[in-house]
Amino acid sequence: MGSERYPLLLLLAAMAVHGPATSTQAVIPSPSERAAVADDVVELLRTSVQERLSSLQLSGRERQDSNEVRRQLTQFYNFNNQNCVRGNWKNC
Amino acid sequence: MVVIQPTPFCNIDCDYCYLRHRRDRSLMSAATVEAIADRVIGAIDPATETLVIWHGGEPTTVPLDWYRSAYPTLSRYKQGVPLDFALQTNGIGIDNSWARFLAETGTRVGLSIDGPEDLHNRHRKTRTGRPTWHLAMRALDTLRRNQVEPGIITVLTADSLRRRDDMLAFFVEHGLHNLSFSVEEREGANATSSLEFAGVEQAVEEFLLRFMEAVIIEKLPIHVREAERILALLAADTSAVGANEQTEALAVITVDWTGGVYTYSPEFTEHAIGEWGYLRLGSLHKHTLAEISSGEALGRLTREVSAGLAECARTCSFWEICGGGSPVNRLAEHGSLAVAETQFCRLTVQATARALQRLLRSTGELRPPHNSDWTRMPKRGLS
Repeated sequence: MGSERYPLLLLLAAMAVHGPATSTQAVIPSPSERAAVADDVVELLRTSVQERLSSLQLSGRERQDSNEVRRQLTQFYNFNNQNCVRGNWKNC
Repeated sequence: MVVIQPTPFCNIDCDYCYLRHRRDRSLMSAATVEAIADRVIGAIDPATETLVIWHGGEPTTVPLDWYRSAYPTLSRYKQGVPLDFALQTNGIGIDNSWARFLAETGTRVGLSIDGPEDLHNRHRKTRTGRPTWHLAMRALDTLRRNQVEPGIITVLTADSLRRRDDMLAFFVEHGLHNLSFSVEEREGANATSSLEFAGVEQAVEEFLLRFMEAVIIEKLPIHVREAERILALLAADTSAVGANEQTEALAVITVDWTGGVYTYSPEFTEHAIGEWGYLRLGSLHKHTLAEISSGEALGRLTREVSAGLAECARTCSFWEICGGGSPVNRLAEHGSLAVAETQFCRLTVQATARALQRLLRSTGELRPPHNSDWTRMPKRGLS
């Protein structure tokens, strides 16, 4: 079966302890706004992910979870996944 | 990464398939397997981790004894780090013998299932129009009985975008946790796509967002490959630039059943005709990898791919998390490799990144009520 990994989605959601709670609806750009925000998407996403990592690393009460996050992330960087391909080729 | 097409033949006839030769029952010869071993695997540093992917056509239409011979032949130069093997299948031919072989050889398996029965059967049919879902599900059971847990490739069509909840319920019911969503593309033999309607970018983004929201709210142990790839890059504060295997010459080597050699996108096998004939870089029966590497065809191809990458780097705000996308989609959509954005880009990396950005902005509200228990996720069978 291979080793189990926790989904990164859940790991990052678990880190949202200190982050602002915002409705998904509030950040949906209208079609006319989409082009305008395109340049910001990756940077906003990078900031969101990094904020979550930082907030968790500072949280003493979740140190155990933090260690688990790091372990899982390390596994992921090693592409130790169970899909056919380690990279991003779409057809395998 | 070495992609091998032992046969172009496929035993079913999906209506979105990109393979032009899927009725051709040709089989790769033993001499071609020997040539792959000598001229491809043998040319790779034995200490380098190398993945061989059996792809198709449908690789399980080739007799199992063929593979029993091919595995040791291909492995003979890899004394240090063993070859890794993977196989992408529709599951139709998977029986106990196959599953045992895959388990014994540690071959990773990708299984194509498009979700619930009716969605799957709408597109994935036999040549006589008969359904195949029950055969794919039988394969899943057979693999699991032999301790092989496959990753799942699900093709997203216009139909499935409208059935997000049914899709998720299906994956949960059957304990399918390693998912890859592949959008239906205009590519190779598939001249049109159901994902060519106004607003499709938003529809795909919305599908992914709501799917991932449900994963978080329900604390489901489901991995969405495309999302995790981006999240991991950003969590590591690193970049996909230079790490996209389809943008580096010979990082992926594809060999077709005749011994023809390709690089960059494996799907170039379906486009190497007419003016694009040079996508077939040479033949292992005539050329060494060194000769192909220094040949005119690869030089020309690399110049064209590089022009496309330069355009991506110059114009695309998703460059850092994409690293140059998929050259074959440039060719299929624009008839040129020297262009940047494609519809495939918009429906994959871009839609996923947008969905993730919205998701992470909202996870304060999405967080499950018993947050401290988030590591207690079921491993299988969430019903």
